Amino acid sequence: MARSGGRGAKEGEEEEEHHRNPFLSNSINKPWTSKTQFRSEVSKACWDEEMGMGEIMEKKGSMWATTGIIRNGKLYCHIEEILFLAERGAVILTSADGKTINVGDIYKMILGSKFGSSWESFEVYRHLKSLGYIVQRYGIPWTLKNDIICCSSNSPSENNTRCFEISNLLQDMQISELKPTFKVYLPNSKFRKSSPGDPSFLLCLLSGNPPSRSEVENLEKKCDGLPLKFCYVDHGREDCSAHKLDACVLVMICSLMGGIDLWGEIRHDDGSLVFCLL
Amino acid sequence: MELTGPRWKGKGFADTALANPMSEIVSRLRTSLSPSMPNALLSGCIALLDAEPEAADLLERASIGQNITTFGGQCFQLGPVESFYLYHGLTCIRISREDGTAMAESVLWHHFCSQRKTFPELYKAYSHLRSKNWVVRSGTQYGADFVAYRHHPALVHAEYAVLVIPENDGKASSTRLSAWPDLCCSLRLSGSVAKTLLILYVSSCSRDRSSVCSLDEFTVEERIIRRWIPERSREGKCLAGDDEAQ
Repeated sequence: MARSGGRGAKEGEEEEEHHRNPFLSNSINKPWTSKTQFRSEVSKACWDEEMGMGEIMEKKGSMWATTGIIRNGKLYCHIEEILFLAERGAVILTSADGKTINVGDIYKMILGSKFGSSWESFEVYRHLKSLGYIVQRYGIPWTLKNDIICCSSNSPSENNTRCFEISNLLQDMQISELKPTFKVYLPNSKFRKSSPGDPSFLLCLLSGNPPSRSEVENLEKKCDGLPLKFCYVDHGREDCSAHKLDACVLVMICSLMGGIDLWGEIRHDDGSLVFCLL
Repeated sequence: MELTGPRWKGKGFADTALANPMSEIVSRLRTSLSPSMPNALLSGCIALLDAEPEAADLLERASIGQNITTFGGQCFQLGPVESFYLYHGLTCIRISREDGTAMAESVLWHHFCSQRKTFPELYKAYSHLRSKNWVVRSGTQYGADFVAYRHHPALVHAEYAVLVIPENDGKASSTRLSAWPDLCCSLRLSGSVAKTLLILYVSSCSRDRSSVCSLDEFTVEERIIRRWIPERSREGKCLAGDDEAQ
C-alpha cells in the first residue's frame, strides 16, 4: 500500500526496507493505523505488584485462549501480554487500589525491565503476536497441574513443566548463559493451554554479538531437541513507524547435509529435514 | 526467498543426474587414473595435469579443475585443494615441480600451507563435502570460500555458499561472522544469489599443523544459517523441501 506501484511484484525477494514517505499526504501512509483494530469489548486486569503480573478480572474476546497463564484457577498475564492488549485497547489495567494504569505507564514499567521483559523482548513479542503466533515465555507452563497428577498425564512436554520453572530459576543465576526467551507456536485456532503440545520453536533473543558455535550447541542440548531460532533486534531501522519492528530474525538450523548421492534421498543428520530428490 | 532444494538448469537434468551419480563418477575417475598415476606439474599454487581422453572426460564430469585444453592434448588446471584432493584424497595422481622432480606428500603439504595459512582447513572442508558427493567449486564470486552443487554445475545451480571457519580448541581463530553486520552481510549476499549459507567449522585440537597426518584430527561441523521471516512462515512450511523443488 504504502509502497510505490510495481515494487510489490518483487516476489520472493527479501523485502526492502520501506520508509514512510513524509512527502506523501498521510491517509495511505500509515501502515500501523490500518492494522490496528480497536476493540469494542474491553477486558479488565489488575496489576499484582508482588507477582509482577496482571490478574485478569474480566475477560472478553477470544484472545484469552492463547494469552496468559492459569494458576489456581485464575488467569495471569505477563507485562508484555498486558501491554500488547492495552495498546490495542483490548484491556484496561488498573493498580491494586483501582487506579487506571494507562498505556504510557505500562511502557515505563517495561522500560524498567523489572518484570522479566525488556523493551526488545516486548518488540519481538508484539511482532510475532501481531502475526498471529502464539507466544509465551520460555519455561513458564501455560497451566499448572496439581503435583500428584503432574507426572501422569498429557504430553511429555507438560510433565516436566514444574521442574522447568525451578531449573529456570537456577539458570537465571548463571548470567552469561544463553537462554531461550519465548516458546512460539504457529498460529492455531484450536490451541488449548491445557494441551499445548510442543512449541514449534524456541526463540532466543540476543543483544550482543552472534552466538558462538559452542553457545549454540550448549543451548541446543538444553532444549530437548526443540528447534531454536535466534533473534536480534536492530534499532537502526525502525523509522517506518514507531510500531514497525524490523528485527533481523535469524535461524540457525542444527545440522544438515548428510551425504548426497543421486541414488535416493538426502537425509539431514538431525532427521528433521529430509529432502527427496524427485 | 526460501530455497528448498535443487534448482536444475534444464528439463530432464534431474534425470541425467540421477542416472550418473557423482559417487560413481569420482570412483571411475580414480580407477581410471590410478593405474598410470599421471603427473601434474606444480607452478605456484596451481598444477597442470595432462589427462588421457577417458580421464579428461571424467574430470569434466566430476567438475574437478578447469579444462584449458590446447590443440593436441587435454590439459587441466587444478587449484590447490583440487590438486591435493587428487593427490592425497583419491591418491590417483603424482605432482612434480616444473623441473620434473617429484614432490613428496609432506613437501607438497608444506608448499600449499605456505601459500595459504588456512589451507589445511580449506582442504578439509573441500574433501569433507566431496566425500559426501557434493561438487565443490571456488566461491569467490559469491563472497564465500566454496559453493556446493548437488551435481555438475552445468546441470544444477549451486545450493550452498560455503564459509569455512577454522577453530582452535573450540574457539574461532578468525573473527569472521562474529558481529551481526558480518553475519547479515553473508546472509543477505548468499540469499540474493539464491544460495543457502553453509558454515563449516573446521577444528583441530592439536597444535601441530605441519604434517598431513594432522588432517585426521580435524573435525568438521556443518551448520546452515538462514534468515527466518515470520510473515512468511505462519503456515510452518518454511523449511521442508517438499514443494518448490521442481
